[in-house]
Amino acid sequence: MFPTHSRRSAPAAAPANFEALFEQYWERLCRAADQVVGDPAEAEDLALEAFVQFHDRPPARDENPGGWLYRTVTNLALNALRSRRRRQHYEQAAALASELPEDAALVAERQMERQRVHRTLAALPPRSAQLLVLRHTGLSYAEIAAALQVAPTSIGTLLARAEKDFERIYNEQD
Amino acid sequence: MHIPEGDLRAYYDAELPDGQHQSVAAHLAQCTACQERGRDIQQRAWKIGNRLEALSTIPPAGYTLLGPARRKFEDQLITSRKERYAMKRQLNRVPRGAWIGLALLTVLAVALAFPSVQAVANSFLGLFRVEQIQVVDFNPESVPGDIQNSKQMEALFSKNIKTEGGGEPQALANADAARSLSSLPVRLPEGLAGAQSFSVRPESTSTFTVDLALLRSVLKDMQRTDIVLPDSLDGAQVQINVPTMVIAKYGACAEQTAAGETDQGSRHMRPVDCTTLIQGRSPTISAPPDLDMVKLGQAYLQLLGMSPAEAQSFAAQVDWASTLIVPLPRNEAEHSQVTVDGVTGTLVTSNAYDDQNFALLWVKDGILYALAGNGDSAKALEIASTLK
Repeated sequence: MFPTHSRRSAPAAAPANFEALFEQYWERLCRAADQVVGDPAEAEDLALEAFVQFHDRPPARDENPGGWLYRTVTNLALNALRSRRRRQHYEQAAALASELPEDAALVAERQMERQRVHRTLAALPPRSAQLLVLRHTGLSYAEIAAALQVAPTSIGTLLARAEKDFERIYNEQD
Repeated sequence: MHIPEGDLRAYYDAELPDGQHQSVAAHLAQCTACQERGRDIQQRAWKIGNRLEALSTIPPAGYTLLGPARRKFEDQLITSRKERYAMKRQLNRVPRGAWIGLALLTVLAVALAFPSVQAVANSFLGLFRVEQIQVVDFNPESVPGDIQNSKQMEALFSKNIKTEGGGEPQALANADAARSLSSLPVRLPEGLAGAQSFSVRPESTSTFTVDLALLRSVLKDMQRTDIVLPDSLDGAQVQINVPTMVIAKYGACAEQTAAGETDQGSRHMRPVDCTTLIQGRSPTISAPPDLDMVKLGQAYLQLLGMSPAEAQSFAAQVDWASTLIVPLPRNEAEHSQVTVDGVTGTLVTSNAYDDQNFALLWVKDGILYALAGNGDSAKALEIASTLK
């Protein structure tokens, strides 16, 4: 089904300011991905993947590069979340990462909560999940709008709606 | 007049312009209803923030430092390019028959998954008709690279499918000839440069008889014995009718081998700067109504890489009687829903090659459209908007 049309062309040149963008956004992308997957190592891999895509297939010149990077890394993280097998890995990794000797019941409770939040995020429409993650990462409305390519004045409405959906889906799991 | 919810939300995030912020504050000072709504919004945002906070496990030492991260990036870049190249070669090696088989399995799974309907005198009924399209990410790892060596796969599709009609597209002189021959209200894009060509793929009817033992052997070859097929499937006859399709091509569509292609195993021909529009009425699928075939759709989704729980959950979300499932190799393409021609369509953009390609699929007034070519999503939608 997919077209076989293609042109043979040289790989796209990396954007001229790639080094500066990598420096500026490396940790931010890790943090954004980590908000979703809760696994620092995996979050770094997802951030690297976003940079690889940016390097090899840069966005259009008039597109905000930071917004593109944020949108891409949250897409990658949410896609990873939706894969059940990987989600189980994240749950286990997070449990192992808890090195402090804590009450077993507390650890189990936290793990269940993480699973519930993961399921909720995975069940949301992709844009709503991205919106919540980006806001929680600390992006301003203008930055979120650039990432999601919507008008900044619509972010308040979209966020309110996404939060209502999150609450509904989260509570349905009771 | 109360404050819109979006403005309230933005107010509590201090994201409103100064003047608007002040007028919202003034209204809240004397409107108890908006105060209450504001409290609900704040509480909800606070709870969700705490819940998301529970997910993050930022390491005490922070993330990898910039220098080492940059080196990891270089390694990942090289690995990614190698994987893409290997994937290309692997996909090129999957013979046409296997892809056709996969496509037919798609149609079969959808057909046999729709609910039983009331029987009439004839045994065949239960029509499937495409009204919408849904993409499923396909994990190529779920299809072993040596599948072309499967004698069972070859037997499955050579012995059990009988096709009447169809065949190679017939070249036509112009668009009017295509309209006349197809009885379709053929619509065409405007403003595309380069040569134009028109052809018609004649109507075809394929009848597929399920040989369950053979199908199970194929699954064994694919190392997917975890997928369970019901016994009632054996001997089921499914008829698939694909109406006449009109194919319009624009630009430099003469096929040529890619420069530097030395792999004799590759049959990949690469037209350059070519836009193709295929249109036709929906394929229809008929199958006996007494088969309990919902599980077959789930089995197919598992073949595409979903877990049993995911397949079951996905299957519950679609209308199997009217949704065409399109498998796309994961990591090779991205897809999204878009508004095209006044309806919701599916846009696929490829990252399989060192260039951008698109495929735009939609259904309007009972006609399936598939628009493919070089370029990004904006170009795809722009071309589609010129259809007349």
